[in-house]
Amino acid sequence: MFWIENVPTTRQWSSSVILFLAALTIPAAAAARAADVPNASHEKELLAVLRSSAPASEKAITCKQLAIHGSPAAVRDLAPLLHDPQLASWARIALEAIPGTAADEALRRAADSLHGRALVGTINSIGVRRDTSAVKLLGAHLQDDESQVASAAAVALGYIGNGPATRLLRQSLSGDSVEVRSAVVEGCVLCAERLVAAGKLGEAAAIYD
Amino acid sequence: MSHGQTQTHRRQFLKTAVSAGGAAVVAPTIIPSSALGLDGAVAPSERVVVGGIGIGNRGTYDLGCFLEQKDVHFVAVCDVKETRRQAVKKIVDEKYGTVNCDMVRDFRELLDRADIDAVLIATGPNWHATAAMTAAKAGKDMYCEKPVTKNISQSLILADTMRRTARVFQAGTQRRNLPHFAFACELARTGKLGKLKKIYAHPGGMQAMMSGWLPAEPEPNKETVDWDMYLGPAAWRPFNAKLLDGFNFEKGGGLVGGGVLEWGSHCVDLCQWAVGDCLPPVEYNAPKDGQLVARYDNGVELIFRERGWIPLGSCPVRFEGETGWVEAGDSGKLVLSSPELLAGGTVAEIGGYPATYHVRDFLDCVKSRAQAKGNADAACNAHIACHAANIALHLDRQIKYDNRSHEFIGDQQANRLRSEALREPWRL
Repeated sequence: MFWIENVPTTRQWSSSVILFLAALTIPAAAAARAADVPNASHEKELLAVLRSSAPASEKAITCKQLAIHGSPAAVRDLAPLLHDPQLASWARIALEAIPGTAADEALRRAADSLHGRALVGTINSIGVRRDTSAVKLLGAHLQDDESQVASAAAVALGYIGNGPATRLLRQSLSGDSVEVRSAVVEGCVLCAERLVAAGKLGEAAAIYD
Repeated sequence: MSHGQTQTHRRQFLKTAVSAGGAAVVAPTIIPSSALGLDGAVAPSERVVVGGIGIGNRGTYDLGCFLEQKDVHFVAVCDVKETRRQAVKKIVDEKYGTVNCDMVRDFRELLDRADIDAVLIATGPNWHATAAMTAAKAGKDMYCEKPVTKNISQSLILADTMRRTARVFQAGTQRRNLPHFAFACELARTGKLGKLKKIYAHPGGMQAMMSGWLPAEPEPNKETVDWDMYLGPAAWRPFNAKLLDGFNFEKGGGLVGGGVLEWGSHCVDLCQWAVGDCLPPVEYNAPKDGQLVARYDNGVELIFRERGWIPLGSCPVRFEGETGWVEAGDSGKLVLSSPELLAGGTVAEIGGYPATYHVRDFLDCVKSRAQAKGNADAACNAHIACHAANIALHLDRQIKYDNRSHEFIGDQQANRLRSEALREPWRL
């Protein structure tokens, strides 16, 4: 049983047609189908681009592809890009995504030598990956003179959220910098929320107190 | 309506000024009646003080909806483009007959203002989630344009952040406050169509897209266009004027996006509302014949469909149950399987998807602290459905999503597409 409340007007037909045509004309250049499974030969092709003298634009998009298709073997070619101001953010897209300890180690090594914004980005990626082996390194950066670096370290420790990270954060609650203290509090709340999720309500309450 | 010290001081000032005005020893204080809420004006204590972040084409439309509301006091605009800052200031100052609208280039300056209660975020999609979360941490409520997030991870963190900070969040999903869409969703949600079987959303272009890098052009000075702030959390690329159009830059997400996210953040959002804003579908199939079929835990199918719509305007949705169906679109019209579904009533026909009602809902919630119709949890679930559909589209295979672990089951590549690193120094 069909009942139509209002018969569509020509104008409504037109708008539907326009919308449909717009859908068809979305640029196809960017569309790329992925293989069903990570493919070693495809990865080799991508790494060859990174090793070549291809322009930065090509290397950037290659990093995005490696985020999907890269294995730990790609880390060796991605790690140097962390020192390239144009490509560091693209390299981290891949390094944050590639599973395994090789990417963690590369990010930790880079954090030892980077400064300023590049260091902040690297610390942020360490936090996203919840690299428990980086707690000591992040603890050291909690004392960094640059408040952006110290703040990034605090939030990264919050994402890691294990016992040592929580202890470091609680010890830093009385710091001088308002910006860093705010980040430390954010880190503590993240730790507490992980404890709540794990059913450790008493430990969480101790942090909230 | 201010919540902090400023409000208290302002009230105390007014109170003191009024009582002092009765004393002979002080000079007379002239207070405009509008400032006291007389002559039909809204008293300062009832006003919502608003700032705008990234006010371009869409933002200017939204701004108009805010300025229509008598209890809104718009005080500042942030934009990375000087021309836009000036344009918005002109609109606001002309509206109020003042020259007070403040202009800033960095939204953090705007968020530092204690007198601002809420912000309108209408930047390009690349910025939405990061700006929204920064605003929430600064204690601001927000109306945030869609697509709200770039990926699944952002969706989850956004919802967590809004919950943690107890902020009022309204996604720019204004169709939730239009009567014909609301009626259609209610029919589905309340069982008036019988047991729900299939719900349909129009993706408006089922193609996965990746962000690009255009040739470098001379970069303007920061006052004219702050390119670094424009890029914000997006991966670096050189200045190119074409990228300043939000439709060319990271539209729909950057990694994968396109129409599924651009339109889905509206019509999939309506579908989510129709199923009671439950958790998103758990299975997404590869696209076939212009359709992508997803399946909820309870078996209801969410179908992204390019063709086959009754021409009711853009953003159509259709809900099919065992005993009836309804279809609605942006014309404001409904098509029903039976007039009995109207139960003798009528449904107001508002075409053209105005945002006025949605803005009003947001402002009411800012005052009541209730959840807005386009709250962060609802937006999060709808966006996850869109992102997951995009991933199935991109990988061209079936993927299964676990709503407890927030992971795709046994699919490493799909899982890698759940998040994307932000450019330094930004983080969520």
